[in-house]
Amino acid sequence: MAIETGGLTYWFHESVSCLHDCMAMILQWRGQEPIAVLGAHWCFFHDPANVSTEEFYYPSRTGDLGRDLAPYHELGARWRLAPDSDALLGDICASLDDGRPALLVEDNFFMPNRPAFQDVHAAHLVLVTGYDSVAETLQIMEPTPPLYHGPISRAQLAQAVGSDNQARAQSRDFFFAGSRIAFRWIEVDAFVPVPAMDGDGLRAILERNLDELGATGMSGKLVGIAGLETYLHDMVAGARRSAAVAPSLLGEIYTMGWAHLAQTALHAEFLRQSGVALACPALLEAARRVDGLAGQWTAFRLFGAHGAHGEIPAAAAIAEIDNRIGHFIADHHRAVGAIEQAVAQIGSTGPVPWPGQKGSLR
Amino acid sequence: MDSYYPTRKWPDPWVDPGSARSGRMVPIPLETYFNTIAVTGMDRLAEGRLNIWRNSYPLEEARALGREIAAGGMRFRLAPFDGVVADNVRCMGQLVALPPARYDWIYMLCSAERRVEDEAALHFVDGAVDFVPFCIADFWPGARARNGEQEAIRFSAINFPRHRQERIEPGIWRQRLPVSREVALTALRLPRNIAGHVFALTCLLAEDHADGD
Repeated sequence: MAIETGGLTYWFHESVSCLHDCMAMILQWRGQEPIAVLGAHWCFFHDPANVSTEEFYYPSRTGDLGRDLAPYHELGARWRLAPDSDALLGDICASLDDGRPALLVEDNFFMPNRPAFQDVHAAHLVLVTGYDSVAETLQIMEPTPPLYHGPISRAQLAQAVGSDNQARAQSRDFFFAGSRIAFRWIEVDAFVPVPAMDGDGLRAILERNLDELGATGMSGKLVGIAGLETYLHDMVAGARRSAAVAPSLLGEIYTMGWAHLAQTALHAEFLRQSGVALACPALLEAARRVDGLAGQWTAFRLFGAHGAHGEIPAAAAIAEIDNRIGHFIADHHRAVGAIEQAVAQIGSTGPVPWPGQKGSLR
Repeated sequence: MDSYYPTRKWPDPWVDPGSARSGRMVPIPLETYFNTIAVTGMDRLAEGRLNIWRNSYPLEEARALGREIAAGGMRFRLAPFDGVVADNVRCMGQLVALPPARYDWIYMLCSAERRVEDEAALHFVDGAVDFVPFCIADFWPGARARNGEQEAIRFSAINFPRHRQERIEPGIWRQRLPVSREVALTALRLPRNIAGHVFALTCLLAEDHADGD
């Protein structure tokens, strides 16, 4: 038996990880604009107890991946665990039989299509689009260059999904090795059409984001702009207090920062496309403010990364991060102010025409 | 203030009868600021420092570009790439001396590990300083020109520390900084941002630079 999902196209954004890229390919295949769904939410949420060293790490506020990524839409996506590779690949084939492509976690060391093949261990997500039970292959789709949409043998994939993702010197990825791959995959539900969004709906989304950005306190969790400021100051203080702990704190900002960079960059694009659709200059200005924050996240992430494993001493990296906090937080407040101004100018429109999409913004 | 206005021999502006910018394009020597290797050959792949993963551009392709290249009608002078000596400026707050003159734009060949969203400082002869946005898009293939950059160079492969990978096609952007103050510019302070790499700088003299200077 052979199943192949037709009509999928590559989707790639340099500021996001494999998680968003793969989800976007599924949304696009469903006829939904990925930015409209994945870019609607913008906040800060950090759960210090649950940061994993994986490229696709995304902080979970709700325990439900679909709601974490797209709280205003019915994304219907959740993490699944299987006991072994046979069970995992069986579950994925069942999902494909049901017309639902799925995402699986693999170790790039065992993936012949990746540059890290037989070189570096790193956890990564890839989209599975079909299988051939006679040829004993699965079809995978990889939107991160080098692009690949083609078969991989079941035996090869079994190694990649069961790897212990070893963190040995010389063959480890600096940040994304060391966590077991452990037969994990992401199940994505069948498509449920979402009602078209109008001006009121857009305003409601932005107002909810503003509420979350202004929120404080959740036991053990850091939320909103205040939470971001606390996280950054605590990270700097912790790294200065202990040279032994500094590399892991600096490395962590690279990992957790990617999730926030992604969310911020996608939201900037969401605001820009909404602003174009509504011909609303205030939304476009807010979009640029938010996009500037996405760009600034890079410096935090990379001073962290280079301080942990790179060319510069940890103390120097910590100082660079510390020097940026005040400006970064002030620019968050400036972005919030710009969104508030935009919200005041969004009228009660009919369905918002979304650029590049037939029909309406969903 | 001596270091702001060093006495040195500056290159002459490029004369190019085919360009409306002839005589206005001033190449800025960056050799003394180069601090990082971004281009490597097969024998020294591990020396690349374009990013945390130690990727680099392929030496053979970079050399084939020649020392002087044109990008979008502007001319630039590149490092003599050899994979051994530093060939670009990783931005760590360097103060780059410029031949004092009135300029309209500072053009850069540059790339970013992910993205740069920062600011540079322009220092003028009278002590005035202006801060200008300094933004560079990601060098990774598939990345868009987030700041309206022009694509200047696109390589066919990228180096990893232990192999060369075809079909990952990294780029170098042409980006520019505006000089609005109509006073002689003397120096450019790069941001302290480890993500930014500058390969070449060419200042464009003000359209009316000869008047009253």
